Amino acid sequence: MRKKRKLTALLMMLAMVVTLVAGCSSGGTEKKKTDGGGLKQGQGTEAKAGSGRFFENEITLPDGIDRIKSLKKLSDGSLGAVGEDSGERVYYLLQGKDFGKKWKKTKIKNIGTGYKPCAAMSPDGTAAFFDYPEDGTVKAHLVDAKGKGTAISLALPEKSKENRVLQAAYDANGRLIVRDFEGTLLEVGDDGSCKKLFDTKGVGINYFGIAGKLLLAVHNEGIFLFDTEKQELLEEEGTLNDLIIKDKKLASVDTDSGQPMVFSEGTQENDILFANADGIFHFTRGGSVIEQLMDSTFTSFGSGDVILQDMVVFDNENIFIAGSGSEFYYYSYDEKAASVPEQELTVYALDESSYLRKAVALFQKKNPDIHVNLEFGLSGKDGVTLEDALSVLNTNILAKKGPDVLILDGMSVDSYIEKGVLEDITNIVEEVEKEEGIFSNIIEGSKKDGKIYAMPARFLFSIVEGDKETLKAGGSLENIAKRAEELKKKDSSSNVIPGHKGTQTLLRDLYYADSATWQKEDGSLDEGRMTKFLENAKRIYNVDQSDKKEDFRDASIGDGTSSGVKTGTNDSAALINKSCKFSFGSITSFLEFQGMCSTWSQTKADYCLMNGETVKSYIPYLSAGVVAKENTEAAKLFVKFLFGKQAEADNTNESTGFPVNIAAFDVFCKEKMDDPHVKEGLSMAFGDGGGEEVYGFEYRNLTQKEVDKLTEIVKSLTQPSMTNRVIQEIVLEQGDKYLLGEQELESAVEAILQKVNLYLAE
Amino acid sequence: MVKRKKAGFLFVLPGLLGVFVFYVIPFGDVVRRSFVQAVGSGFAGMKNYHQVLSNQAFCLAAGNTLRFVLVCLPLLLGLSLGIAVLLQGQEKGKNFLKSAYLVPLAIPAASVVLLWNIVFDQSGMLNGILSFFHLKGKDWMNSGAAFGVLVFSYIWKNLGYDVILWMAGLHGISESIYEAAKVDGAGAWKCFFYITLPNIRPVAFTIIILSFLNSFKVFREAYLVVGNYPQEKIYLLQHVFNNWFLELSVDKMAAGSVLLCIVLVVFVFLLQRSWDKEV
Repeated sequence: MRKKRKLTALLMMLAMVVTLVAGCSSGGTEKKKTDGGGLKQGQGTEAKAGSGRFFENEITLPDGIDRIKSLKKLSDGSLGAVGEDSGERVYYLLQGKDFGKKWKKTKIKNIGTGYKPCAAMSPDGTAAFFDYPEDGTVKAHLVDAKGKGTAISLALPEKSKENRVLQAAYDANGRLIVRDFEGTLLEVGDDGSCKKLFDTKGVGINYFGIAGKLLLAVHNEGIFLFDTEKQELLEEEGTLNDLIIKDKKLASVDTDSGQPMVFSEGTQENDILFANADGIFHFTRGGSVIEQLMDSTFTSFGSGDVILQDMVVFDNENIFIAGSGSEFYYYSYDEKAASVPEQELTVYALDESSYLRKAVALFQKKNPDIHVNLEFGLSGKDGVTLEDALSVLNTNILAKKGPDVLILDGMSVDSYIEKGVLEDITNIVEEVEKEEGIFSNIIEGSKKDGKIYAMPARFLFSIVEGDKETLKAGGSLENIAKRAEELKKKDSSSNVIPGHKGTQTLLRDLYYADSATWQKEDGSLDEGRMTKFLENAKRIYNVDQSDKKEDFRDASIGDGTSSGVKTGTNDSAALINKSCKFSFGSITSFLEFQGMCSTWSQTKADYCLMNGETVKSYIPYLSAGVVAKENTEAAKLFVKFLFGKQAEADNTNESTGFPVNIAAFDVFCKEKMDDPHVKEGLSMAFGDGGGEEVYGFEYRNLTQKEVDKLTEIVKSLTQPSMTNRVIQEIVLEQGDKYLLGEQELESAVEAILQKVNLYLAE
Repeated sequence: MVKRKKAGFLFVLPGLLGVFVFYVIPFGDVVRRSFVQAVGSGFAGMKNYHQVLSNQAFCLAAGNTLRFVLVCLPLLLGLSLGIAVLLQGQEKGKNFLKSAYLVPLAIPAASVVLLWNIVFDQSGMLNGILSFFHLKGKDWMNSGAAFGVLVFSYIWKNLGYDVILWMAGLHGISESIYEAAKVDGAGAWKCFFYITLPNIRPVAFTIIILSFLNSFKVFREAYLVVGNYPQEKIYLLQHVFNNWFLELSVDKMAAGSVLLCIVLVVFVFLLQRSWDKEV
């Protein structure tokens, strides 16, 4: 009996210990269930171990057509689309064969010459177009299969004179359904009559999609399901509602990201397929699980550049998705390919970067066998601090679960090199340098003991923009301060420097232009240079004494990065509206440079490298390094791609620094000397802050002289600014107090030196 | 007897296993890491220890931590014992005062930090009061005064706890001993030195160890108020360890931890020996 008790006690203790230990383990990942359906399974499903997945293929639009307005699988089994020639405002009925390789074009006639904001393709090959309202009436054009249009007036509910059709689609039976400005869903009759589909009980429909005979109406709290054939509202699907509740971005349409989801019927009766920024998904009505057919990281719309327009599931193995621009893709299933890419790569950066996102998307497209996980340590949404992010990163590195590629912006590169975390990437840089060219000064600036462990893919630099006298002074911070004081003496009634330069923005601008000179040979900070830096910053700040509370940039934009996009802090516009005498700050892209040059016809200004007589420094951006591991081939391939012309020149988001790749740099230079956007007419308008006057300028092409000067300046840059965030934060914190008069110069310098030297001594 | 001991051991076993899993085994890994490189497993010998002992930041932090302990421990122990003895003889309001002294312990660190900021900021309450009396204030947390603030904070937070512990010890001394001494003509001081102090020695050992270990917790407030790089007088060992981890200097961190552990064990061991000897 006693033995039995002992045994029970022992077993209980053992169970407790096992529970304790098991409770502390990482727990494993929850697998996504699949509930079958006729469609082939893709990434992120239980079938991971098996084979087969979808691949993206780009479709070239037929000549003269630059965008798809609507897609449908036609009743004869072919692919139907409404195409648009946006330049000529001509529309076509398209019938595609061989997965978009062959097209039959039918020009649409008799629908007027105006722009048609929305169109819908019917399964029988006919189409409908809608005009903007004119005199309170909205016209629809019903187009037959031969392209002949017939105009009808729509009897939209008259809630306002501006009521119009925002979205239209045909169901599987050819019923035309539209959503009006008020968010009401209406079925349009052949005579233009509009019948409200169902009572939404006051809930506005943000957008809708059609999946065969099923209408999915998305509102803020979920999705209404409506059977268009039986004309009855169906029971809502909790799983789909949860999707909307968990990610509110999926609920509404905005001008930047367009409609967040597009829908299509599948190959089986209850199939609903949809695509959004996360990928392509399959849901079976009545089911509880959404199956991911394709991860968006393998698609072009995963980069965030493409606004989804329409989607058609052709058969079990082919899905078509059109973007709102010229983007048109089909996704084909390859049953022989591994269900998930054989190689996996993790790229880690502290800060969100839209450029990096796009580079990853381009890389994945080029390397479908490598799956790239892109991680950002500081999303800005979850309250994670720099320390938290670095702690997690370091724990992962120590546990050998760290990233393969590190984007070292803001991190202590030297520390990672010293610890042997980074691999020598000199050979990668040399390969790209040989093939496409890399600015040798950037290469030299990235060397550590003759080797390269990390190199920026992009860079920014600081400039001064103003008249000739100002440019003469622009070479040093001291002269800039002197010039600012002189200008204020001459005219004390207006600001000398742009009004947005609060303490933080001003200090950061000057920091990037000067910090490359601060470190002494023994690694500690130079007291003299730090003192001069703060003195000059204070002199410049005191010239206008801007009110810190009014400085929106300090609070909202910070260092010029917003939603992962870098914006320069130089403000050419302030020279146009004469709210300052000269401007200075960072310049982040060719577009900004082009904009700046375009303003000179009004401002008669020019530019020079800021602090260039003291140090010709650049601000490194996206400094990439390969983490030393057993297998680094994929990581090296990615880093090479990041430095390469394709990533640097194809990446359409221009506001992300200048490329280090010479071939890419040249591509941009050429493009900006003969810019198609300039031909179309690109301009910028802005107010004076008070909202009374409107200013603006027309973008123009860069001249050869301007490109030559830019290239010369870029080639002259020798040293990277200090980007270590710990040091930057200490300088900005103490500098801020000094500029605001809360601290004496000596105390500020002493505090900076003590803290930074302590950091360096560690 | 042996069976009872075995049963007792079985009851202790889960806790012991927890200590092994969460403390002893991880510390074993720390000891291992102190002899290898930060990343990878290359043997580094005594290099990490050499680096730590020649590291200026570590030496500064160790010196500050030692100074802090040497200043705080006697102050806290003396003050808390004094208050405990006074409260012991008090009849009115004894319980209220006991609770009042414990209030700082119940205040969460985040609130304490807020209080610090309100009181000790350059434009905070303390400087406001000083300026009312036409006295010049200072940036308390970014000057040498920060050490004083830290000491004050530690004493303020731990005083009540130590008072309770001392009072528990004092409660165990029989009142008859005091009465007998008084009959023999002993005064209050004599009673304190010859009766109170010898009788609370066993409790004193525990209180000293607890207060000593609590002195390391003051880092939390200092870190939350002034971050990773505070004024150098309040730059403590935990700052170094924390910052080393952020720099992935796990090798130095491990060596530093082992050294600190040795110092702590030696301190406790010596204290215990001296206690045992005198008892």
